[in-house]
Amino acid sequence: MRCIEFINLHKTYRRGDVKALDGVHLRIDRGSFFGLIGPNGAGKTTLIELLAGLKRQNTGQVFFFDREITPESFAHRRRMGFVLDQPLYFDRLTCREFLRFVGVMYDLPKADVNNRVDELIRFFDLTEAADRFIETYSKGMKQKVSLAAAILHEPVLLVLDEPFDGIDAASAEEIRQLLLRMNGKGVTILITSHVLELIESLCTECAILHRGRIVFQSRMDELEMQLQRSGDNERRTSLRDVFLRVTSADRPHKSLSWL
Amino acid sequence: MMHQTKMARIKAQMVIRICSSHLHMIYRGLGGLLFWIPLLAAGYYLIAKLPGKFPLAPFLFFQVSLAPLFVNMFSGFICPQELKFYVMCGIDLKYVVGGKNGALMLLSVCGAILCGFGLQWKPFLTWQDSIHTLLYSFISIFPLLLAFNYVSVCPRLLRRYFCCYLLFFLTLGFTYVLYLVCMICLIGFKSYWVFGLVILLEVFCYCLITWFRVAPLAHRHILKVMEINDEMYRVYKPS
Repeated sequence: MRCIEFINLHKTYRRGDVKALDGVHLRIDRGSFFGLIGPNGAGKTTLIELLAGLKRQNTGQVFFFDREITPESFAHRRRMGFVLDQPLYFDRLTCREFLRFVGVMYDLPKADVNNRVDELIRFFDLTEAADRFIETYSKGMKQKVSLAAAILHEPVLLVLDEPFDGIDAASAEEIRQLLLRMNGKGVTILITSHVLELIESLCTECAILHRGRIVFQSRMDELEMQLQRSGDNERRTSLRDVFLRVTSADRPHKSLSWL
Repeated sequence: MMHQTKMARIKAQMVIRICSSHLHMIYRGLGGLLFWIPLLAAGYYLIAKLPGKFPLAPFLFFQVSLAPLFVNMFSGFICPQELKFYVMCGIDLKYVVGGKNGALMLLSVCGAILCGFGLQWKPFLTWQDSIHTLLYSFISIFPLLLAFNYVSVCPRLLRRYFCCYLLFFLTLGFTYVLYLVCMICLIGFKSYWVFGLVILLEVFCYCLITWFRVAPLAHRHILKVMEINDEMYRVYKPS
């Protein structure tokens, strides 16, 4: 059963000069842990912002389960959680106040909100900073606040754009385990990252977006089998090799004259 | 019928939640307002000391003291981060507009009352001065709120600062004419009922137009508004 499906999605910027998405077809099944990778400027963030209702596609359709979604339709987004590349929060609220505000906005009962906020603050090691304004936080701490806000209301689809950006290794490992647990409970997760090892270790399926098109898509177990078949004995091939093969074919060789 | 009642209750709850959250956020920004109070007091002292009780003094004071509030409202309405947050959370912008307006209306009314009766601080101003200031405050609040609502959600207006200022001064001019008309009636009938009627009519129009015209506009134009706001904030981002 599909959770999200993009059909022939086109999005241009600057009156058509820049093609961010050029006919994207992508289906993400319910319960999958889907990794979307691609070079800088491939269109990953645009795709996520379309899903979040922050941008409008030029043409094409987006389906969430069996319903088509448009920027005008709001209700479906209450079942999603987002961590965007530029996290959204209110700088002049403390972390505790902000998370409570998010909980209230999602219609959660007050007692649940308080319990969950306390738990999330403990989980993300924000106890000491919980009553300080978010504007005083480091980049990693802000990222943790965004993650906490995204999962507070138990979404059925979690969309994460570079979620581990700025987060320390120990916290990243705890978040990885948390995401796996959520996925195990049936939450569909769409994640983008430039750390391909992370995608390899977490995802059940992945796709490569290049120049606004999906140029590669595979289940991770199928990819693993293919890689084993095609790899030579000396070096095990990985997602990185596939990524470089697919995205670097037309890249010229570059070097610096003084090196 | 039951379903409709339940839906109406949920909508009202959402508006109240957003309203109270905004009041809370404004309360968090009170530190900044405290900076304004000595300046306002000094300004008021200078205006009120003008010889022969300069007749526009209370109104000037009202405008000056209300200006930060309107600036706050304007920047609050157009802040792209905030709009994006609500859109991302799947909250209908009707409730956001309703909640923000609720919070600002409450603040404006409190501001008007403070302004009106704050005048008693100077003994040479009478109770009548206070009452007139209060009435003028009430007469100008609602058209100003409405004008700013339009500016906040209408991309054509938002893009041109000149239009925003023009709208602001036109609204002020309009409300001053309204006030003068009411004052003439007051002299004729020796009663304040025309003031009450005008204010009531304004509140009614403000609520109706905000809910049925501005909120749907916000909903329709949101992407365009956010796009323009992003551009504006890139240039004018407050430090």
